[in-house]
Amino acid sequence: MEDLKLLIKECASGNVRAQEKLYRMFASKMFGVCLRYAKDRTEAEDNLQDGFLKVFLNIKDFRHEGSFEGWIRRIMVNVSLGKYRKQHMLYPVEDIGKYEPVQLPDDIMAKLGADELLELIQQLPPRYRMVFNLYVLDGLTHQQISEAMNISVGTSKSNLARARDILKRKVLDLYDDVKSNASYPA
Amino acid sequence: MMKEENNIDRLFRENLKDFSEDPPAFVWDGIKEKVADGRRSKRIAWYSWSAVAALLALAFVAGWYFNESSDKVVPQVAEKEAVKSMNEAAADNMDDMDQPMSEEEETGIENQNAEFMAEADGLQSIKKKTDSGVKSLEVSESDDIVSREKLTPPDRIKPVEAILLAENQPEIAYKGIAAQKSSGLSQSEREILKRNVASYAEVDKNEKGWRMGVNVSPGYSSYSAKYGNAYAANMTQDASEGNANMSGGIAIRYRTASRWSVESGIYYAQNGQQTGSSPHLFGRRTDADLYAAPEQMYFNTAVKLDRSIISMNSTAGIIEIKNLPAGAEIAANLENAAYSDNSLITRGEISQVFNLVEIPLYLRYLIVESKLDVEFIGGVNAGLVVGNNAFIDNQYGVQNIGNTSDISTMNISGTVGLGFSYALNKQFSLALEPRLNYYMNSISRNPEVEFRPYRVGVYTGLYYSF
Repeated sequence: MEDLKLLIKECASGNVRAQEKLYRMFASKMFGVCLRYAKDRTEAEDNLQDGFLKVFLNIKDFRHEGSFEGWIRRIMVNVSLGKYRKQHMLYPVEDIGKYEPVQLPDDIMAKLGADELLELIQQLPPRYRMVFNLYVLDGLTHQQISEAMNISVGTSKSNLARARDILKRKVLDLYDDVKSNASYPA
Repeated sequence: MMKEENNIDRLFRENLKDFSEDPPAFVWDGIKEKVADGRRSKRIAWYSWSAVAALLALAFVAGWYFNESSDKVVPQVAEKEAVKSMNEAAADNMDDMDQPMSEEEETGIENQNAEFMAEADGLQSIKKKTDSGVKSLEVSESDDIVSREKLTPPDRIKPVEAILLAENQPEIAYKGIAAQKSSGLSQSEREILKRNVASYAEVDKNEKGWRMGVNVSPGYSSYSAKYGNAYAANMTQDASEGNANMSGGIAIRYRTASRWSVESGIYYAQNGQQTGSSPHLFGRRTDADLYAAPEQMYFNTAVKLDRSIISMNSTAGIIEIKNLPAGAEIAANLENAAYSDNSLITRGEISQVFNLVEIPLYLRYLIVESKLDVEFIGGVNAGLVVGNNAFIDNQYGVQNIGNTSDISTMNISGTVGLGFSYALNKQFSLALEPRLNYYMNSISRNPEVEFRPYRVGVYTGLYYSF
């Protein structure tokens, strides 16, 4: 813990080796975060780079009050949101109708891996992807999401519902594929 | 419904909450480069700011100094006047022994006397002389004050000079004394005055004041440089030379009452480098020159083709070749893997030339003061890149092929030099000044290239004092 503090201090004073060490410590995790928010790997790589530049630029202001990982993660999420705002400022507001509830089979957890799920998230329309990530994976409330994305709480809620619905269907498709593949004899 | 939602949320949360994946290596390279970029621009900003600060500090010191020295003028006159007033006062005392003297005048003279007594030995000798003058006056002659002065030996010209000075500044002269001062001067005294005026004029060339001049200099410019590995691997051979050129400009300086002067002005200068034909030294080149006759050296360097621009890593930065020179070929690097797919093959020399307008701020210190003055010069220049060209000189002549990318417009250089100045007369002087001008920042913004040109030149100039 003290080591990290020291490392942060070194980074703040512009030591490139320290910066590299810090990057190596957090890069994989943060790349995971960026991948969830981005539409593809290229965008995630860009966001990771921009995010770490922001980290190094602002690290001298880190007050050691909360978790450092949480702080970096917030920066990554903010950079991703910023990118989204830039790209989808004029994205039309989609309203939702009623969706038929879809049942998920119980063994679905065992069948689907992280990579496949990540791909599903990335395929979501950008707004849904943002809301789903913020709510489900980063634990923001609808109120916080509405502020972060400059949308109403209602829109946030409906976007989340829509995202869930799309994901459920896709998960089921995927599950069916997995199942049918598995039923073929080798 | 709620349960299902939780279901799907849980599915993603458990799988992706702590999902991590190693990013590709180039992401870190990009970050490193951009951090270095930021630092570099900060450094340049730092240079600019320190130049501004130095300028302000100099302006402040200069202002303070000139104020200070103009203050000094008054006591200087008063001091010299004290010599005169001693004369006069003594004469007054002698002549007007019987006349009633106003109290004010008396105390004035007493003060002068007190001050005078406190002065150093040199002045005391003057006092003696004054006394003797007074004595002779007592024994011999009339009440003409000037004729008393006549007795002063011509080699002791100091007090007379003082009179001259006081005469030129009658408004500062003492009330009671000024009236008597208006009396005429004898012939011999006029002679002495003339000599004094002449010697004054001679001293005057180094008195404080303005001096303006024009300078030209043949110069030789070269550079010191460092490169990143990736850049260097694909670069023109770095066994290159500087180039010879002319520079010159207008200088204006202010000489303070002491040995210091401040100089500014505007200069035009050229910096650059020349890269000759290079033998086949490095791996990532086409083999074309191996087949050339041994005495034919080919310029042979890896280049990158991007749309219509051919870029080539060269000494002062990447040359963007916009016009392919005559007699040059682009050949594919068949066996090369990485950076550059092509090579530029041509005979001749490539040069990168930068034209600069430089605004100097120099301090000059007079080391030797004589007919031939010697000064030390030191200071900074703001160098603005106004021209940026790349040329190739081959069997088809000199051709402009494009320019160097990432060159910063504003740069800071330092200058040191020696100045020899020969006074032709009171107004005009000839100057000969060897100077070294060295760029403190790399003029290339490319993080892989650190290119700092320097230039040596002997400036010859004609100066006018006013």
